[in-house]
Amino acid sequence: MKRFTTTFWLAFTALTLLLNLSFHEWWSLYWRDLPPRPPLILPKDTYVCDYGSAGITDDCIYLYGLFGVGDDMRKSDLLLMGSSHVKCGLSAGQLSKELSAKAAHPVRVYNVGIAEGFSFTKDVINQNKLRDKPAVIDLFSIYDNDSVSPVADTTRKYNALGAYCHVGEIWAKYVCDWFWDPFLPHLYPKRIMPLDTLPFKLTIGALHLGRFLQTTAFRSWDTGDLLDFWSPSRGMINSQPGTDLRPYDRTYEDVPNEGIKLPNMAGAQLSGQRPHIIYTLLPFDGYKLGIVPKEAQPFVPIAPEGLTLSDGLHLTELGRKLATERLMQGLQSQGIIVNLSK
Amino acid sequence: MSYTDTLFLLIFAAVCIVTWLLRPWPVIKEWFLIGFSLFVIATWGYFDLALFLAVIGVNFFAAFTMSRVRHEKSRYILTAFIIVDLATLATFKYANFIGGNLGAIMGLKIPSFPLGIPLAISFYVFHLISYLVDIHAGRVKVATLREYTFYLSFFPHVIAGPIVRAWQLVPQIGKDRRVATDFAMGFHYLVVGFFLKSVVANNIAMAIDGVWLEPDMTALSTLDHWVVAFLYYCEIYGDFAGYSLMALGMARLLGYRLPVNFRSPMLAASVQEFWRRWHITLSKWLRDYLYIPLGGNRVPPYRSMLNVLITMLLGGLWHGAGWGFVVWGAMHGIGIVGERSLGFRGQRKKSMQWLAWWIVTQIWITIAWVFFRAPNLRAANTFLWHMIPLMDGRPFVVHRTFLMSLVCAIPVILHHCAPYLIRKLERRFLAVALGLSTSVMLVLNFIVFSPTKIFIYFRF
Repeated sequence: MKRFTTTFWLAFTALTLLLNLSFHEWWSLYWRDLPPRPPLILPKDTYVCDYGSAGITDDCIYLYGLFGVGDDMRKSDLLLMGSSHVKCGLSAGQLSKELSAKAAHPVRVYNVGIAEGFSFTKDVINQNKLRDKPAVIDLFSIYDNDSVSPVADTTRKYNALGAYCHVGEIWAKYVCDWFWDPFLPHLYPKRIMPLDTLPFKLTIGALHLGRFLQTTAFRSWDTGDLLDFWSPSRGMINSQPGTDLRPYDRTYEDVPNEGIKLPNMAGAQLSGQRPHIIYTLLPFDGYKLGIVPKEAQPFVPIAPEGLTLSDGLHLTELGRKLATERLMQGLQSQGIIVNLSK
Repeated sequence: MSYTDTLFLLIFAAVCIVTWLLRPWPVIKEWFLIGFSLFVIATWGYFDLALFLAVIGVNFFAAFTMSRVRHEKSRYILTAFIIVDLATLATFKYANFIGGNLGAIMGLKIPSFPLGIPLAISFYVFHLISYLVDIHAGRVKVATLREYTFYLSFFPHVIAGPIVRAWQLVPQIGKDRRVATDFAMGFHYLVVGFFLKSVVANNIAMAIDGVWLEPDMTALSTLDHWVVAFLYYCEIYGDFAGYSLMALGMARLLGYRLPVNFRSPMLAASVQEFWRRWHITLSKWLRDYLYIPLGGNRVPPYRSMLNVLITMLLGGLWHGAGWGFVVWGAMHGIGIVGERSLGFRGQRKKSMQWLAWWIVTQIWITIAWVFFRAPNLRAANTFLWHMIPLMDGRPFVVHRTFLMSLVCAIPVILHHCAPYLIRKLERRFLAVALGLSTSVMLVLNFIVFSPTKIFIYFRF
């Protein structure tokens, strides 16, 4: 018995080492040309909110108010709500600073932008008892009201414990992949992940060789703001320039020319039960003010001039800074800040 | 939490260490494992946990009462509680199916049952029935609360089997039976199981899942349809045999042994033999607690065949509330009845007759999987229609995606050959061969990207 066990472990260890070392030697030739990994030990106010194919954590964190985020949202004076446009395109931290300076006392703002339609945001509002909170709502998410991803559908079925486990699973995957990234390549079927953007192209039949670490997004615990993206081929994205907004005569393919309609349910809920709703529409490729519904009042426009996008839909860090400034000016010019400061 | 989750595997490693440290105190160790098992169930839903605890609580009372009364009275209690267990299963799993069909027949709109299928209900209800019957028959003694809860909730088997009898697990409770090879073999099973599930089954699923959702199957050739059906056979084998191996491996690493659930089913040369190789613990359960009580083989041949049909139909229905599962079960029942009618007694291997039976059996089983997988009977019929060569102008074209997925199916074939290769191997090389194969699969588990998908049998 003992001999069997010893032989088994010896054979196992020897071949595992040999295979790993061979792969490592070969992979290191390519790996050294790739952008460095993101930090493993994140600053304490930062978390991984989206990790490649492993999944999204902020759906769970926001819906169930995990890790104290529910309290943070409830304690806030103003919520920024909407889809991924808000997640990437508005800064709660910046707005909080500017509002606090105007009000001469701390005004807390929290970014509740989630990459889902507004029906999911409504779940977050109800689950976390946020109905009476003043909120800035981006109309794009209301247009996308019922379109929620399979991730959100699954998230709705969890309980808080399951949600913690789901978040833990994504973080565990991030940590494991972070460790393996310099040592081994990862084999992806072509249909899963286009890795053509890497500086080299290694294919075996229908398989691509790529890195372990996948696209990662980081978010702030304190403000809910998106802090940065990391891409396997480009590294940290926020340090890189974006593209200018495309002309307004080309409506974004998903938004109809006749404009966004406030769905009855969302409209009733927003106007009837929530006294302090402020609408806005963050610019994206093909954006035009004509798509804003008339009943969306008060509406604070954000001028698109000079805003840069990272992918046609989402603002870059610079674009976000400008957009937040313009939102602040709009709030101020419409006298809404006075209400928030009270 | 799924057993292929990174988080679960990390926690499981910690659980292994804790149980190893607790081995001088088996009682504490087992309560710890019970706690962890209940935690695993709770991660799927608090209601699932509450129902599980309620059902096992009621049955604990039943078993306790049965042990205190005379045999004749115990029979009534047994019947009553089997009815209660089956009624629970029927309510949660089949209410919508029965209601929907009754509504369709009678033209009524019957409101649907609001709760989904609770986790593992099919499995623990079968565990409980076997436990109560075995107590009544005097095959096992009434377990203590710890033994009973451990037996039913032990996490490697609670969600999707193997279906363990009380006499298989309860005697292991309270003892530390870990032997030197347990750790090595447990690790080997865990790695192989993970490989079959994550690398093989999940990647095949990725390629063929869309086909079953696609209403227009005319885009695929006849051969494509056969390849997809075969790939599904490989997928479900990788998924379920992979899960079962992981369960065996996890149990071994914790010092317990669970029964084997698969033995190269693709080598079966008859449907009857298939059920001796596929989901062995379920087929044994159906044999012992359904087929034999119905009369088994000790009745006239026509009754015996009817018993086979009833058993297989109910076996099919056990998998899910849908007509596809019923047809799947019926096809297996008809297969067994057909073999018996034709006087099949198990041909000698390597003979031409064996080869002919093997081909016919495997084709029959592959066709049956279409009903198991297709979303409804209409889709299954359309799929089968396109499997007929004359229905297609280009029967022998195979889509490139499926060809690549056939590469993923190679490990399934190799896994079927493994027992024969091991038998041929000199004993002194066995440890080396197992060590090397474990190493290769572990490295592949790391390197090959695997999409996340829950185990198919978790839904049953």
